[in-house]
Amino acid sequence: MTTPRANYLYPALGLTLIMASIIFVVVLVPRWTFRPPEPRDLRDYTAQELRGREIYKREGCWYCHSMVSRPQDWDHGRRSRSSDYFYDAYHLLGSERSGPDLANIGGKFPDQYHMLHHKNPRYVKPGSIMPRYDYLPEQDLTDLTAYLQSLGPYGTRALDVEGGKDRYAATGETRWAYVRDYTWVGGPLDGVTEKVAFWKLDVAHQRALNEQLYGEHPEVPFKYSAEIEELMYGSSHEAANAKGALQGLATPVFPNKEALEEARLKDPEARAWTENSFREGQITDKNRLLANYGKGLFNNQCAPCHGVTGNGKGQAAFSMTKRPANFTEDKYAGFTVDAWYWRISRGVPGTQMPRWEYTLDANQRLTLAAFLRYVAQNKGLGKLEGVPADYGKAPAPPETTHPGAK
Amino acid sequence: MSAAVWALVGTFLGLLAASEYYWPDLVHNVPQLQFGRLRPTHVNVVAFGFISMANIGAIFYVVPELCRTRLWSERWANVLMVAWNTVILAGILCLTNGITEGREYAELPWFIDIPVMAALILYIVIVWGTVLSRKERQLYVSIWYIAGTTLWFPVVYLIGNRVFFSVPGIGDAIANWFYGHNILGLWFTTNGIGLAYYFLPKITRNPLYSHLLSIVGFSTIAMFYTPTGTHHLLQSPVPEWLKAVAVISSVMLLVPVMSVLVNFFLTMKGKWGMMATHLPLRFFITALGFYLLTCFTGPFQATRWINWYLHFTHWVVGHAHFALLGTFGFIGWGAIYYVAPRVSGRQWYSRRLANAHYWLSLIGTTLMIIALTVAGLIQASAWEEGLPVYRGVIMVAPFMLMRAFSGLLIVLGQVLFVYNVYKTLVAAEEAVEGPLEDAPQAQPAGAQS
Repeated sequence: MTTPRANYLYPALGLTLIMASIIFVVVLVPRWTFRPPEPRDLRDYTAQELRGREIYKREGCWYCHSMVSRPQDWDHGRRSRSSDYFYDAYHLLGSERSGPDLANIGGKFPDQYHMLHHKNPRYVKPGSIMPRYDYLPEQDLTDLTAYLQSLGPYGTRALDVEGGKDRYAATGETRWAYVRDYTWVGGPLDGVTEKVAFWKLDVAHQRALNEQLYGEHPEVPFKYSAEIEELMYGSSHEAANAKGALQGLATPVFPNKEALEEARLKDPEARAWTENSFREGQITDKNRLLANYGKGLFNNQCAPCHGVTGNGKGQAAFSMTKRPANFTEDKYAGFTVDAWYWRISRGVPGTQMPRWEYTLDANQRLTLAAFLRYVAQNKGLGKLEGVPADYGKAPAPPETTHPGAK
Repeated sequence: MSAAVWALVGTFLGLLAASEYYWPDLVHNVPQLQFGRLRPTHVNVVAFGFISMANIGAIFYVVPELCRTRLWSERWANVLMVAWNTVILAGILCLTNGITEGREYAELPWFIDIPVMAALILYIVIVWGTVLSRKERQLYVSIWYIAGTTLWFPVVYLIGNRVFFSVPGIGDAIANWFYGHNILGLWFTTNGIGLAYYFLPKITRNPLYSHLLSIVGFSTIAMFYTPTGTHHLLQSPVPEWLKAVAVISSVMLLVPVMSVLVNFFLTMKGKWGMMATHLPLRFFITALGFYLLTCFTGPFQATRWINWYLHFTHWVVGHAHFALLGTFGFIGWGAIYYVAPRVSGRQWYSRRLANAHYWLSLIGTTLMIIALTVAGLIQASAWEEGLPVYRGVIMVAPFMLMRAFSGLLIVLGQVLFVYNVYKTLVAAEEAVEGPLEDAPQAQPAGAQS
């Protein structure tokens, strides 16, 4: 008879060893081997932002607001990278999204929006279930706002790597590139004065912005903005690449979105082309390249849902509760290029149509808009087939030094 | 038993938190009761106050029984009880006042972590002291589970609470989720399953179906649970190989789970009728039913594509309630119902109250899980359709109301439970309706055992 202890000692030791080695592999090895690279486009937190971060942690904001933008959240802005968390002394990733993700919140809304939102979320978001934090001292709310504004590629913490902020200044955009109007807000009406003041500021700002961006059609985005709840701005080359990789598609990306947008507004030839695209006899070499690119983009990105001929019968359409649009319907024939451009950029709320502004740059959306106008007016591909020799072929992407393009 | 009181407190905090999902201004100007502070308090009170304490209490009954000896030191066990309660109380005060580490399941600040570690070490000493001074030569599988847990849980706790190293940035999340998942897998699960391994054969007087299966379950549970935590980070920028390990081991968890469940359900053979007459057994079987469902949804939602759809939704919260409330809460209650009369020498005060507690808890838990699961699916599909987050919030509001209502049922059950415990143990009333348990029926002739 062996002693009882000897019976169990070796298996117990073995199990403990295996257990220890597993812990070693999954906890300690990542700790040694996995170091997020130091970000080139991000600075450390300031003291005020750190105080805000403490308040964010203390009040448990992170239980409802996650802080990681995933590949599939393509209308949330840029996808999170490990270097985004380089300066975080403790992580605030969160595990639930009862509120929106905050990884890219910085710069989306003006400071007043955040202050108002903290004081009573139902001022700006009727139906919100976030608690009111109006009992916090004003200083706490300011710090918290500073922290939120520091997050993401348009936050105050993002460094101006390629003069991007100067470009914004050149096109007249402020740090918050687009602010929606709040005139539809219902909900509780305490604090009315503050809210009305906020509306006024916001609406004036909005109108000025629209006039600058959309020239003679300032009303177009203004009308749509009532339907769109959370507006974010910014095209992300990285998100485009990530999404392309996700779908197995190669999506070439142009740099200098803002420059192209500006060129479109100012260049009479480009302007004329967008209005008269694909009409016979008006296709120049320069335009054909872009137009063909639009067709190629459509085949890659839109045809799975809308079908190769734009009739709404793509391969993926059968699984959708809201059927993709059929561009050969009469009502689409009257859409202007601007309307198409807007629809492509912002998506269609309530459907799976994404906001392509985060995936495609302005030039790509523009070529798509021109192509769609052609499809809608010709009830399908029509005479386009066979016209361009370099049909569907993308121009070679220019050299780029954008940090996300590697 | 203080577990009962903590169950009441914990579920009440849960009810309050759930109500704030529907009435966000329910308590205003009381920062201590805002959702962001209630939620960690609720989690910690239920996890450490109620379930851990019920488990440890039952373990202090089961281990000496299985070792045919007395507890190593009843005085130190009492010290542990007092210490643990003090720590929980201090923890509540910290969390509601915003002193937190801000890391899910590891919110307790470092100066609370140290007494927790001390208490855990005391607990190890008591368990191992008892096991080493045993009179019974064979170690039953319950002892394997319980003693094994004492070895690995302090390590998990140490790593998870960063007592000895700190990781900046997203590496912190890896350590956090290693802990966050393993407090479930290597503390509640192993303790709860260990207890069930004792209670089921003991109550039904059936032999355990297979000792081989129980050993398989034990030896794989430690291996497959340890790396699973990273499946909470499948969509964040952490190393891909770590995610792969987490997903594979999450799916492999089906091995210990199925071995345990097959073993239990086959042990029950011929004695299912006892559920009608034996209340603690009814709790255990209900817990195992929830465990079955938990462990099918767990690996399911840990795979990449399902996680892609369901992560960040209420579904995950529902899954957590499945595991902690449905499975280990029920095991905790059942253990209290079973152990209390044997320890105190008194019968339960009221069988009807206990029955009402069972049904309120069962209906409440089921409703809550349904509400959270459906709400999670709604949220996920709303995102998939491109709707903004707060549209989804409005859409799931009825389910949040349902969740608050189910929380109310559970709290009502706890009130009855605490009243019953009070009358039984403190007020020392005589039982009014007979015992909760009937002896097992004799096997019908010719039945397989």
